[in-house]
Amino acid sequence: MILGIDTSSALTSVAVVDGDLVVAEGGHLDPRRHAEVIGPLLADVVGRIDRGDVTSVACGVGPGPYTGLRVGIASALALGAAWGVPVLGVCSLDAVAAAELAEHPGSPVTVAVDARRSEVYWARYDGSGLRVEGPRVGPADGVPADVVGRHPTGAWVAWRVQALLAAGAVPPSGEVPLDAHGEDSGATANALAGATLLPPRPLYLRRPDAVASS
Amino acid sequence: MTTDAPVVLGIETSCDETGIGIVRGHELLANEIASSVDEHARFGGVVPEVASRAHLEAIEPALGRACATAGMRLDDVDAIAVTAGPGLVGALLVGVATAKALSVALGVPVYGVNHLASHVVVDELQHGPLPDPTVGLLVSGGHSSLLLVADDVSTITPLGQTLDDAAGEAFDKVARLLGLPFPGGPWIDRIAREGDPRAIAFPRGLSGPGDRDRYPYDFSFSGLKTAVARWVRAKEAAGEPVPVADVAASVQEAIVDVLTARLVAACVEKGVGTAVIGGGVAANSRLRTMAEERCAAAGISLRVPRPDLCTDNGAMVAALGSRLVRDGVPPSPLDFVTTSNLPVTRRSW
Ligand SMILES: [Zn+2]
Repeated sequence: MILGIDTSSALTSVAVVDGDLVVAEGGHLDPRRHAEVIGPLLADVVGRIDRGDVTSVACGVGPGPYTGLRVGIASALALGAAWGVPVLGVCSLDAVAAAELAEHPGSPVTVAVDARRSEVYWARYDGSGLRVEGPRVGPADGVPADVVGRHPTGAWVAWRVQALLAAGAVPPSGEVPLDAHGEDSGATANALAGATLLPPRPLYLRRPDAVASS
Repeated sequence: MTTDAPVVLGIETSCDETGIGIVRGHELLANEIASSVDEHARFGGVVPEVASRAHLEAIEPALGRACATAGMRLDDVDAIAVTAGPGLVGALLVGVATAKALSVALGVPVYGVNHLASHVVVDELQHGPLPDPTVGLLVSGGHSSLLLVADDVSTITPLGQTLDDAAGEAFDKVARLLGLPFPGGPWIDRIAREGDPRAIAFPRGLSGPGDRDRYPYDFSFSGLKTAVARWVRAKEAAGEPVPVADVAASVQEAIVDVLTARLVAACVEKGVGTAVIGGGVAANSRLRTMAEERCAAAGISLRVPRPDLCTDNGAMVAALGSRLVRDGVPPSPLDFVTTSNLPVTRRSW
């Protein structure tokens, strides 16, 4: 069983999946209250499972608004530390693309979530679910027309991790194969295509707004 | 859980230090700190987003180190305590999320606690239970307050606070004027040893006629910064070298004079026999010396924790959490909020 968390959008989502089954799931839609609602959501979901059955914790590493995103990743890290199980990340947009592909097999899709400041985080996928462009952050009107606006969920993040593990992906060593700032880090083709697991660290895509003093 | 000596894990992420502490009752078992201060230096002050990112990078490794130092596993923890405020909200949330998830994962209660109250209670780890009542002076880059701590550390009443800059902020701003690196406090302290504290008579905020009645226990440091800027500019305009050591010593003397005078006045006027100083500025050597002299002269017993317990740390949060458990205070609800301005009168949510 995999416990999945995603907080990369206005939705705080927690789920436990076992194969194709969602064993327990909870969510709360509010762009500013991730840190408040995550506690009761986790308590509810964990209360409905035998925690000894959880083999790993999956978390969406964004991109997404930073404050909420960090809440989910910090929670995932804490669960992993407390239970002694690995914490595995995937790009949150990949989880949405996988959900879309499950419903519309073979259709290429562009996934976008709100990045505030009139911008979106987005990525483009081919009909087999491989990422062919992104993740990027940019003006909403620059994004291709077939945008999907659904929220990444804990269940889809957990399924994405489950699928990658089943395909032989190994837990990340700690290096970020996909540059956290969205710049070329010499990432492998697999990382660029979303075919690898990621360490539980946010995909920020923007550097902090700060001006060095002279 | 043994309620007389609970094992409490404390998490602190309110500013630029990621702190994880573990205590058993009053006994300190671990105090792991990862600081992002070097990342802020080139910005001349703490950048909230930089601090938040650093907390998330540092917190899980710090948890592991704290458990190793304490020689225990997370399973051995009886309760979690975490700073809920005041502080930088984005930074606080990293610790709060970690604390809530640990609470659920381990099946133990969580306490969202007050950062300022933690700065007072931490002294119990080094010097044993605080006498009742005690006056606390909290001085750091983020706060400058005088507190009356009563009823066995359950009632904390603010007596006064800074009306503008915090004491540590004043040190930082003056250091910047003098071309010294951030954070300025330790540099001013070091360089002041070579200077004459009576060389320049910088103003003591809120010491004018009438101020003493209106603001008996408050502080104001923005006028001092302006006075130093004007003095340095005048020197430069006259083509004379700025005597950095004398300026540093005189500024430090002005800040420390006001802090210790208000502390002693509060103790004397409230009839309190013990004072405790906390916060990063408590590491200032001149503050320690002058506070000792003035408290001794007034018959006040002074308690100052060692420097690693004065600056922001997880042990202080664990120390307050341990108190709350032993006092039978109910844990915080799992949806407790994080706030940049948690009133000091509230020890926890
Ligand atoms: Zn502090």
